[in-house]
Amino acid sequence: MKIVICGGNKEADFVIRAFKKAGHTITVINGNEAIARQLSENNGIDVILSDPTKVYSYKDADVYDYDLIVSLLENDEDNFVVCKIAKQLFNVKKAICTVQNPDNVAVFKKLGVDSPISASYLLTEKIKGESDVESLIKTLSLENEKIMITEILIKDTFALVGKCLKEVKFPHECNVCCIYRDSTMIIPRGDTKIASGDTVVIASTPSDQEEIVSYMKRED
Amino acid sequence: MIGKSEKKTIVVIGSSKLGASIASYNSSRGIYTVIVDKDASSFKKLDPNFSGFTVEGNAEEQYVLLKAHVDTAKEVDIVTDNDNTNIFIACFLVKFYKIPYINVRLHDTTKSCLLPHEVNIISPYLLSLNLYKELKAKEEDK
Repeated sequence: MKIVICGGNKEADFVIRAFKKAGHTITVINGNEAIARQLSENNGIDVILSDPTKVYSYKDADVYDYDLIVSLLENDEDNFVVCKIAKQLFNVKKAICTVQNPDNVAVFKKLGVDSPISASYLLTEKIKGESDVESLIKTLSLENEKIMITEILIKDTFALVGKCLKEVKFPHECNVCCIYRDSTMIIPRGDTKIASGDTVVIASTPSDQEEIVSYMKRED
Repeated sequence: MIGKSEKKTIVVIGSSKLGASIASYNSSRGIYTVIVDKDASSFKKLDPNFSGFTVEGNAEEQYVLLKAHVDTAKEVDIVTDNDNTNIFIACFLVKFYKIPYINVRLHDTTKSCLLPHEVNIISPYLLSLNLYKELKAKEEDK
């Protein structure tokens, strides 16, 4: 993939290292001379010292038809404009940027930024996930939070223990993807019995997740 | 006061010299005018006779825009000193509200094409350049 990375400091360094390791072609634009030099030295790459909020920077960098832009500037509106310049004027296929104001995540998506990332938004989601379901449950969201993967550790007090999957009446549509038992993975079938100590992995929609989890945790 | 169906408010975003003058002008013509700026001290630039409303807050946030009644505005003039702020607000308003007239000040004309077609662009650069050319033409006529 061809990727252009704009602005940022430590996070830019991290992203550059990761993309470089994965073998992608990367172009880096940074407006701060000291940071640009640092990024260049750390990663052994050329960094274009130019204002990332200007159209000419992208023309000079020749980023036409790139696959991805990652914008790591401080201001939300600067990141918005950078993503718009890349997509609209240079035909860059996908835009990812950081946002400070968590409310902007939804707004940016509606205005055509593919993946706006807000640290506080992610943090809140993470805390929600952790506090709802304690430590025995881990969740992962895929495809912009349209799919939730939930991992539940089955305690011996749960009502589900000893039941076959086909007997379990889940409150919503979901799929038990796999069961992890004694260090081996079991692909479940209807007659697979749930045992205490199993880790059950379930795919569902985010809105159904909470009810499915509380159903599985029932102890009566 | 303003009726929901009747759009007659003019909202000015950014109490720059230009913003304050536009707001003062419309207010003096008896139009219900609201001006927004994140810095209350910039309202000092308004005409002493300004009879409209001032809203202190960041216009990139939706609740500030609603406080300024953009939802019932017939015209919004986006004239902060920052081009990127102006572009973001313009895109946001076009996407989420039906406002008959949106005027945007833009210093960097290379970014004109990032704005939706519906908005009018006020470019100090083009205005100055055109005036210069006119002056030059006059001079050559003599």
